[in-house]
Amino acid sequence: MVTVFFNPNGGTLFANAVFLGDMVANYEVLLREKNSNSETSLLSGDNLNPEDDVTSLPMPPVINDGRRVILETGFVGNKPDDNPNYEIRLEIFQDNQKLGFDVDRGTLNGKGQFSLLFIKLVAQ
Amino acid sequence: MKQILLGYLSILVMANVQGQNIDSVTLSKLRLNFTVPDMPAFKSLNTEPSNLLKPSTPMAFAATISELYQDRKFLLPKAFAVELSPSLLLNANKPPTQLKEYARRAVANSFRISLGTSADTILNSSSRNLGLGFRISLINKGDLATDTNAHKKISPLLEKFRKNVRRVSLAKFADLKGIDKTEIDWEFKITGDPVMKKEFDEYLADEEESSQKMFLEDFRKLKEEYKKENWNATKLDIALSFLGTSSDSLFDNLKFNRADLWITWAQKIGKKAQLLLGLNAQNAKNLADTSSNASNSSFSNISIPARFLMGTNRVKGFVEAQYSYLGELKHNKFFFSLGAEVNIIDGVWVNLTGGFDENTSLKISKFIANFNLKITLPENFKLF
Repeated sequence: MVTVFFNPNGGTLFANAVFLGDMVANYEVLLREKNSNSETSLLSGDNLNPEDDVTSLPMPPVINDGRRVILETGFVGNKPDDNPNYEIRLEIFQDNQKLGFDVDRGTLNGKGQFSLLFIKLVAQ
Repeated sequence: MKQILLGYLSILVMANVQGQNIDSVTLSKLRLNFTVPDMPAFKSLNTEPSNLLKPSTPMAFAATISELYQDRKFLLPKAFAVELSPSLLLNANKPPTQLKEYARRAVANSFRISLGTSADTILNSSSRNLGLGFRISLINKGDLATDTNAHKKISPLLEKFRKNVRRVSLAKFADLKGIDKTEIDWEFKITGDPVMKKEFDEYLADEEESSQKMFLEDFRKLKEEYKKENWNATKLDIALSFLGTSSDSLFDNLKFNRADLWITWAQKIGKKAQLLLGLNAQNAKNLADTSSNASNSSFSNISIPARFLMGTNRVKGFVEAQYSYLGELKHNKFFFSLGAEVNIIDGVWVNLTGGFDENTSLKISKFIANFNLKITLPENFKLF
């Protein structure tokens, strides 16, 4: 699992979802409690609107220590024979700096596809 | 000859059946079998009396076989053409980009190349024509792959799908693999392990898997509804073709025969009708005239066809009128026809046309009947 270290005394943490590929994607960003599978939804949407798919994490940042940010995506390729490649990224930002990311790359198959990305947050 | 026709249909039926059994790389599920478009290379072979080049949604691959039936007889096909989208090959290794970029490139990606050949007797009994055509769709409404409003209807289906995968499919797969679902982040043991993730992707790609089955069923309904609403969508196509004729079947000594330009506007009329307005300009040589003057001279023809279609995507009738001016002979011609276009099985279209071709300059008219078979890849066809 990708681990991202953040400044517990810094600014707000942000999770950003990026969808690259000729596909329709519907997603949800979830935050899982430390040492638990209990989770809350932070943001849901799709890749069809022009706005960034970004959400802030709870403040102060230190309370996110040990939590995991999860990006769950269902997607389908529009023209997998013409444009077969996709990339889904989950990025963590703090104070306008990208602290780290996890990525899922693959091939569109024209059916429903599923992606689940995890990032563990650790205060440093 | 019926056996030949049955043979063609059998191949398509087999492709359908095989396509449903083999998993792996699929051709686009958003590909909709609207009617097979007329191909510039095929039109240039003079296989049909109409000079209207029907616009349609770009397809990765399509083929047309002509003149299976003419003058009350079944015939061996005299002409054959295929059309390919170069983007199929060029985009395979491109890195992915934002969705809006694909919509922006839709016009460039609609560029298609067609190649056709037909038997001819213009030079001698074994001469053949070779046509090379190019086409681009400048306006192409009703393409599910680039229609943002339709994508907004797909998004809720994907929401239902991903929730079901998380709740049911992932849990079933974990049970199959003996993964303890009470462990912290147990899902990561599947999605975070490259080998396990590949196995899960294959498990999920099975069309009988419950989440996938539900999604594909919802998706099929959405596509059927979309086809009903958009078979007659507004489009504008421009195409160009060059036709050469050779005195033998190996295409040695290929001589320029004709160049064609087509512009066709398709206008949606209500839910069940469409009007096609076209222009076809030709610059041609008379290869049958072997005099030295003729070899350097060319002449121009022009046709203005209009076709009114009514029906549904799968079954539609049409009435067509066409005026043509033949530059070499300075003749005026009119062509009136009635016809039908029927999608008999996924990927196979039958065109039936009957009408009168009248040369008003010579005051001669003749009845023409035409039966064509048009083939494209079935919607569920899988390449491997």
